[in-house]
Amino acid sequence: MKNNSKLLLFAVILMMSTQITRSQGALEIFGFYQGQVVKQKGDLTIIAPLPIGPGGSIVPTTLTQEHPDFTGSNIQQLNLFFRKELSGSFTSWINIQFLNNFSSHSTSGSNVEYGKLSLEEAWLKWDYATALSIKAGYLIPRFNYLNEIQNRMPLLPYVTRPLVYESSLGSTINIPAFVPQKAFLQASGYIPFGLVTGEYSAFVGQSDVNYQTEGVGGSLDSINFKAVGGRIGAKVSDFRFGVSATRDREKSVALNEDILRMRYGADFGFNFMNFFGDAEYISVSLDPVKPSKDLNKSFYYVNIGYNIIEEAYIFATKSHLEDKEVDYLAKGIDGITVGGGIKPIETVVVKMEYSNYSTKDGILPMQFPAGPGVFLPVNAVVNLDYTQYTLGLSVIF
Amino acid sequence: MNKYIFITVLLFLSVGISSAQVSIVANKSVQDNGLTTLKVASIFSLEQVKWSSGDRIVVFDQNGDAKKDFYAGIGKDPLSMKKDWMKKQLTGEAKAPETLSSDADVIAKVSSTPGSIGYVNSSNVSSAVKVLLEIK
Repeated sequence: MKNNSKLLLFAVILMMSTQITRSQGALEIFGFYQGQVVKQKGDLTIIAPLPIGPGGSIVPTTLTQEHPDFTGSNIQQLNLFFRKELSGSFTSWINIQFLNNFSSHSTSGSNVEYGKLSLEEAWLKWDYATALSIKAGYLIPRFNYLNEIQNRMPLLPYVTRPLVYESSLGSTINIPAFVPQKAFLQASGYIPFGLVTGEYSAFVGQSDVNYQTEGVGGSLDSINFKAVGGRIGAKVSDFRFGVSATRDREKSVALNEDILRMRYGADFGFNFMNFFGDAEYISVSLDPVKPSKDLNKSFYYVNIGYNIIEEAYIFATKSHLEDKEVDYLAKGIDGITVGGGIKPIETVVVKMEYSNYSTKDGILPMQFPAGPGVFLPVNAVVNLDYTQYTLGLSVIF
Repeated sequence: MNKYIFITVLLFLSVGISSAQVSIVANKSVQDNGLTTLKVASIFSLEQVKWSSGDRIVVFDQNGDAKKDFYAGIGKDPLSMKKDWMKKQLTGEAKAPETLSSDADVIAKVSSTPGSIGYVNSSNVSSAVKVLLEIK
């Protein structure tokens, strides 16, 4: 009976949605998904100089040597979009995202729940003129070029994104520290100056993600200081460039301080002959009242590609990140992706790539138990080297 | 002798760069007149989304003969334009234009869709639509 009720409810919802679609013809429902098959070869080593030799002499000791190798496949991402032009000037947009084969309940007899379902965007846009549009709601702010489209996989030539845009590296890299995540108000527009089109955007956004969980229901951003920022850019034919900046505060538990944080960015992109490319630079400056160590961060990526024909391309991407706040990333992490793609039809892209992430001599501070109640501070050295061969499939529907 | 070679080369060059005229056509409900190529580029880039009357602009693209001359005329690469459209579509900014197959289809669609704009070879313009610009 319970199952019948579910079916009945589903049928009613389906009929209602059909009615809505019929009576409001401008409601567009579409989306995309990206699946992947990945073969990973990994190498993680942690070596610490421990005083365990004769007479307490230092002996480099391997604490960890792991090879997290695997071959697997999943639907990395599926987004559903709901767009409706409410009038000549107002547009409503909702973006719902499913990550990693999202399942909220057990399937096939297993008790595994995995993936993530999230409301990524819900906003209303008012187009006053070409020079002024205002978005209000829950939105992804413009910062450099890639931030706004980092999750629109069919737009990207690669499966594995440049470091600060690759969500699967979220456990290694503090991604929200580099790029603003969400805003609730953004003004933007295009202003032509002859052959040059100027573009701008300015937003007010959520505070640091670590403050947001403090609000009502863990979602209401209840902190008084907000992120403000924007981008100014220009386009000439098929060349574009821009500069971006944000100002907000980072919640530092270690320093018990709301640290002033400035992000600066620059982006560049082009399409010329059959070549295409884009590049970005981000610098994050943290200015604590009681400075204890350098907390600044920086990131860049460069991507160059070539359209062999309209339906096939090749590309190479290099990215590099340094985060002085995180010891094992202080000397940087590098990412390289090389690959290509083919488009059997306009809405389908098959992507193939080789990618590699590696750190060199990252520092991991540890406490070595030298005796009962005695701990010696030791700096272990971390090296990670992950290589992936990926076959991806992006489908817009 | 050199003069003749020079004239011949000029003649070949002029034949090489000559192209058919393309007309930018709109639905007769559109009140705007006399667009510039920059304005047309802005409309087809989906940067300008409203006419001066406040009505929303509906853009139609096509895969017919006029396509090459049109994009050359507004100084845009069709492939990068397609990428821009896809970006705007997937970020909710605008709706990617419907691509039609011929001048006749463009005339039929534009004449029956209020606020719409498209392009055709000038030789195929009909009285069912309004001409906003001719690109030579």
